[in-house]
Amino acid sequence: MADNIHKWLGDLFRHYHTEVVRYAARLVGDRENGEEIVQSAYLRLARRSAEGIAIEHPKAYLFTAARNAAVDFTARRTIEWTYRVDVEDLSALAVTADPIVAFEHRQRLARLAVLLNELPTACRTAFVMNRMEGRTHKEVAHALGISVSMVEKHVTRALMHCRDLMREADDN
Amino acid sequence: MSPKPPYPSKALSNEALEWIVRLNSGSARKRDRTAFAAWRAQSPEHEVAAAEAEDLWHDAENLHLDPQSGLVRLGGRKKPRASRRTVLRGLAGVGIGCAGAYWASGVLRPMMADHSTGVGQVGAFNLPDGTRVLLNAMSALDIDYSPQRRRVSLLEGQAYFEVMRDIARPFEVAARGATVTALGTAFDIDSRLASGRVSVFVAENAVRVQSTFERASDSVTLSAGHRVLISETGRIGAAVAQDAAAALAWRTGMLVAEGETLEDVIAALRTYYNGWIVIQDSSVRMLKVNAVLDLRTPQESLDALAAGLPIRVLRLSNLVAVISAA
Repeated sequence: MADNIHKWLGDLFRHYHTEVVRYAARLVGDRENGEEIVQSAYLRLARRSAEGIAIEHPKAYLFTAARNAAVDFTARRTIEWTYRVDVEDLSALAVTADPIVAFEHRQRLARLAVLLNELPTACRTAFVMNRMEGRTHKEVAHALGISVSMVEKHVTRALMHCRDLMREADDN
Repeated sequence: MSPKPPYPSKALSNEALEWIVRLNSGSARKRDRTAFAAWRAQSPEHEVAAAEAEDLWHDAENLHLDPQSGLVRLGGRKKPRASRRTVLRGLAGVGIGCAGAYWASGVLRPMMADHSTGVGQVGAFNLPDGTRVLLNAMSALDIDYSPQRRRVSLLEGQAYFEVMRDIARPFEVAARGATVTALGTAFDIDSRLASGRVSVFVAENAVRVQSTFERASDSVTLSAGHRVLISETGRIGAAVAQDAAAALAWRTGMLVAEGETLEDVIAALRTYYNGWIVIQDSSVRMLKVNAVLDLRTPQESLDALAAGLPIRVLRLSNLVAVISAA
């Protein structure tokens, strides 16, 4: 049984390691942490398999596990963050009284960040400029050299992607 | 958690999202907001869809774009003072310092080497000619360059070389019973195998492998994707095809064993283990191992081996682990 786990983990490693590390690195921002995330994704897979849960699509599962590990990683990074930033920098999430609510909120934000990072660059950039930098669709269109309706499509697509995968995470 | 109402259909939710996008486009008017209010009031389902869309939009306020990576991170717009990385670096430095002291107490020779690494530490550096070296944990390398040749000695451990091309000055690595001459660019030498063997793996182009103890004419040319073992007495084995991702996995902190013996796998783990791993029963030394192990968590890797093989791992203290037949 255990030998079996190693066999298909080995296969996954050989075929997809580079690809999944690149993916994970994109989700959290750098290659070094990408490796760390993929390690914990392998562990998740091994644990799940050791518990006797059949994994039918190892590749898809590996990428999902990597995404989940990236969410945890991003959330963890924030905890350390909140100790480091000035009080005025603290967003509402850090001052919520109930630690469980705060944890869930942080986890949700971390997932959102990871999901946005998963988007194609053009799509993410349009969303970031509009939502986080407060620019109008017209300004974004001008800055990126695309049409206003394209900006609208990008922003809508970003939200739909996040909505779909937030729902999926809630179901698990 | 309280049971949640089922999600509104995607079609309805998409409509809600489109409203949110329009209202935040910068060209929305008061009548658009009134129209949205009317839209969401149509049914409880509309209201849930609208709230879900609004939540998504509001949550994004607590994110920011990291200008360096171009990626989305948590937190408002201001940047933190110190990144987690800096802090971790500091901690890692302390850990390696201890490991290094422990290692130095036992082995003097690599202390005098030009480049060396401690327990669990991987080193990357360039040689004077621009050749790139990645040194695995507990390894030591000596450099001896002359105008005629570039000679390095792998005193201990394992190293991966990406050799700068220079036909006039051959690049040679001496390791135990073998001398390896680069005929191309990238190759790996592992000298920590059991019984003094050395393994040579070629990632790109080819190398010439020569026995230190035999006549210079007794050499083999090893091509990319192949591995050869040289015994302690300098006997060169047969070349075997091997997957580069598996052979070079150590560069990313992994060990991919495909039919390796337990003693060779343990030899690789030892350089990441802060302490001693002893194989007590010689009967288990030659057990074949197929596993993907994380070198950076040697304790867990030992447990993984124990789970898959007929062996027992007994921890006598924090420093000593004894492997015996189960």
